[in-house]
Amino acid sequence: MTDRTTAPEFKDIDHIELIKPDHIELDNGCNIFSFNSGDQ
Amino acid sequence: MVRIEWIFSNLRFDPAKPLLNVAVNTMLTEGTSILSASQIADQIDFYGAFLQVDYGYDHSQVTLYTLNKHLSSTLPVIKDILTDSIFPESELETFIRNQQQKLQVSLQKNDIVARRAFNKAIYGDTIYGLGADFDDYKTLFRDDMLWHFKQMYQPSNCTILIAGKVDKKALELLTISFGSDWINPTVEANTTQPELKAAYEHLYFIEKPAALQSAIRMGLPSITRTHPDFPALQVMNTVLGGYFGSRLMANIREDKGYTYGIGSGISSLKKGGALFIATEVGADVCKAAITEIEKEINLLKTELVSEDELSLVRNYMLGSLLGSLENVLSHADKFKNIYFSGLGYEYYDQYTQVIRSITAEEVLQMANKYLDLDKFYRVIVGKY
Repeated sequence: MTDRTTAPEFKDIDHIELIKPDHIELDNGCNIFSFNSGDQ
Repeated sequence: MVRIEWIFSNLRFDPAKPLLNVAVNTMLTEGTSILSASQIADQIDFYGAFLQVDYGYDHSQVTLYTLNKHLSSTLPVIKDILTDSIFPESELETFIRNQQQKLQVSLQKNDIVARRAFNKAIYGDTIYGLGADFDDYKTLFRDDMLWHFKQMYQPSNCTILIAGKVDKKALELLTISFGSDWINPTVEANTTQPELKAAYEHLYFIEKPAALQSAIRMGLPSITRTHPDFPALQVMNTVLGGYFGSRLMANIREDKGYTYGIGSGISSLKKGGALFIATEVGADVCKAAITEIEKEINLLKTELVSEDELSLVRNYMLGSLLGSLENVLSHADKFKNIYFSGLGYEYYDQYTQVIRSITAEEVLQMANKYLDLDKFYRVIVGKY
């Protein structure tokens, strides 16, 4: 069982991972950036 | 489900016809040659989708939330809107009437009046400084809107962001709808903007003798996200007025009780930025509140922030960044911030690095470099 008398350990945030998009440029100059999460 | 955004840079601001960018964007859902406003709304509703238009200082956009299985029915509506909006005269009249009524209500609110006066002072006669008045609506004509629409809403001025379940089929439908048969007109969109020119006059007092509260907005032109100091300046701004436990809140709300809320912020736009402090205070304590704001600014410039406070702010800022990333849509939002500023993902690495390692001395340097009270613009609406 969780021991609730002590606070959970504090962890620093050192790096943030961001999802980067795929890029398509259409012939008409329109840029499409897509971020796929799959099924959610 | 997917969210698709069609984002267009606004056209160059024309002071003689200041409302074109906002009116054209707002009225995109008001009818095309084949669909009336209510047919557009019905069609989107029928498929359980959601459509909205948003006007911003730099960009205007159309956003669609839709189930993947209905993309082939919802995308054609957007295509129709983006290629064949007609801004029906009757809808335009309604739009103008509604906007003028909203304006009358807005102008009763001191904080809105203060924001308009502040933006006008900082940004001048540009798209950022525009505060539409009643007569500006008289310059809106359907022919101008049609011309503006054709120039602005063209593929070479469009960036599409699609986020969610972006499978092969979704991308295919999107590229077919907005690909080869979406053609650029012969004239390229002119998305340059005139240079910002801040006003000579730095003090604006708009008296409202019956006011119970006065709105205060003060600040100065500042750097944008593209400047190397930006992350450090954001740390300084957070200490000053960027979160609920900030110096301004602790002093002017908690200690003095002059206001329910006070905050500071940095707006980073394409052509320039501004750093500002905004609040509404009891009309009888307006002078005292400004004195306290200036006192807090001077403190930041002369005394080092304690390690406890700095560490709290660091954790708050990194926590907020992490907390704002809840799903793939928010990752797309983070991309927009950098993409439209011409920055790459290393920006976020630098940002977290600066927040983690910034020292009290550096915060003090930022305050001295960017908070020159002699250069502050001050707007007070209400009683002083």
